[in-house]
This record gives sequence, C-alpha cells and structure tokens, in this order.
Amino acid sequence: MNPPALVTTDRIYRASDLNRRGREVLDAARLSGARIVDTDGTSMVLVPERVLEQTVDRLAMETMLVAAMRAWRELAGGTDVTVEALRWVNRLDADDRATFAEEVAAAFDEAGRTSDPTPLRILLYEWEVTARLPYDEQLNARLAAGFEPGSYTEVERPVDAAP
Amino acid sequence: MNPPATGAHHPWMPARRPGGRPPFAPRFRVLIHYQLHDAWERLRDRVGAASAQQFWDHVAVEPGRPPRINSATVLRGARGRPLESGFSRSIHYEVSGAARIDYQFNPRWIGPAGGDEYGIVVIVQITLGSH
Repeated sequence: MNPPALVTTDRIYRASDLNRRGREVLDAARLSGARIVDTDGTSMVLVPERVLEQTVDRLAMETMLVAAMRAWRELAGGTDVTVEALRWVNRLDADDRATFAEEVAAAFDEAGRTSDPTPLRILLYEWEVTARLPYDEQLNARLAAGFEPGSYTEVERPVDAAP
Repeated sequence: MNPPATGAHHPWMPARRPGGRPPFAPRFRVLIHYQLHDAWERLRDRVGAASAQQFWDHVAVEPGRPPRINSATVLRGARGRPLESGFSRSIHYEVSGAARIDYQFNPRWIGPAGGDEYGIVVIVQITLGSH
C-alpha cells in the first residue's frame, strides 16, 4: 500500500512564477500539488493543508503499526515490551498481556482486511488508559461479584450548589 | 460485606424523580454500589455541581456514546470485564482530572422479579483526585 504522492504533476514552477502567475500556482497546488524550485535549487511543495494533515496522520499510523507489531512479537516471545511508546504494556499482569496480544493480533487482521487501522489505534489507546490505572482490589472484588441488585441504590441527579 | 438494609435498588419500583430537574427524560436509571456512597456525596463538592450534573446527564441518556464534555474510554482486560451478560465493558469517565468514574450499562435490564426491561447504569468505582 503506497501512499499517494503529494504532487501528481510533472510541472515545475520557478520562484518568479509566484509573482507572475500566482493564481495559476495556487490553482495547481489545490488540484495536484505544486512543485516550486527556488533560485538556489531547493525544491518545495505547496499543497492544501488537509492533504498535509492526511499525510502526517498516515505516517503516524504506520509508525504505530510498526511499533504494535514489534510489541506483539516481544510479548509472543515472552519478554517485556521494549518499544518506547508501548512500554506501558509491561504494567499489565500476565492474563491481561495475553488478552492484549490476542486483541492486537485480531486488530491487525481486521486492519489488513479493511485497510483501516483506526480500530487498532483505538484499541491501543484503550489498553494504554487501562494499563496506567492503579491496581484496585476493591474494584476487582466488585466486578468479580457480578451484578447483585441489592448492593446498588439509585442515585438522583446532583442538585445545584446552595446559593 | 452485606448491602445496606434500606435504600436498595428495587427493579420493580418506579424510578424516583431525579433531583436537579434534568432538561430531558432519562433513559437509564443510575445505580451506585453502596460502598461508593461517600464518594458520590463528595463528588459534587470536588468537581462542582455543573460537572457532576454533566456526568449524570450523560450516563442517564447515552452512556455508550462519547461525552460531549470530558472524556470517556472503554477499559480493556480484567479491569473492564462486564459484571454479567448484557452489560457493557467498564467505561472510564474523567472529569478534568478531578475525578474518575468507572461505570457499566445494560440497556435491557430485567429485574429478578421479571417485568419490563429498562436501561441501567451501574457505577462501580469513583476516584476523587486530591487538591
């Protein structure tokens, strides 16, 4: 899956075109991206901001995919995660690490089928929030007990503070 | 630990009218574990009445959607496991760093005595930040 090129035309503008044909350069930038070569030979590209944002997002996504793949391989090998951005995985206990690895693998499969890694990104974010929470024995006991209606009371909408 | 003898949730009783007069019809009853009553009572003082009401308004109407104010994240692993079949995973709601509330919801709860199904939100943890 190759990312689309920022500039899809062979046309090259010179610095002087910005003054003489500024409108044309902007229209080209909007439609196909515009390549402009400065007087010292530096090549620059003019594109709509949304195109640049999409490119940055795509790069971040691919970086995330590579990091997740490395982390998954390390977990599968029974070692701690060394990928800096995903070190929080090491805070999980053994059961949660196994669940994490299974869910990441499934999300990889889904991303491969749909060409959309967004669910994987969301999954990683949810796991990171989970991993950063402190261990809570009381909460674990509550969850393990299941829903016992007699242990819960209905609460009203909080009232405004007294004037 | 035994649940309190009074004030327990009775699924066959009509919902009490919430205080503070919400400007909408709640779709979910909001329930809290008896161990969290003290934290719930202190929540408004800690985060402010408006923020506490925003939380209640959110979960009483659309607990499964992202809140318009503040943030909410589905929890993974053991920390987010559903209380039982029909419940969502735990959702971690953060009130601007001042409080965190974990809740689950079941849009089609039927009480132990049977009857009509209705939605419930179950608060399983409240963590108040320190000043």
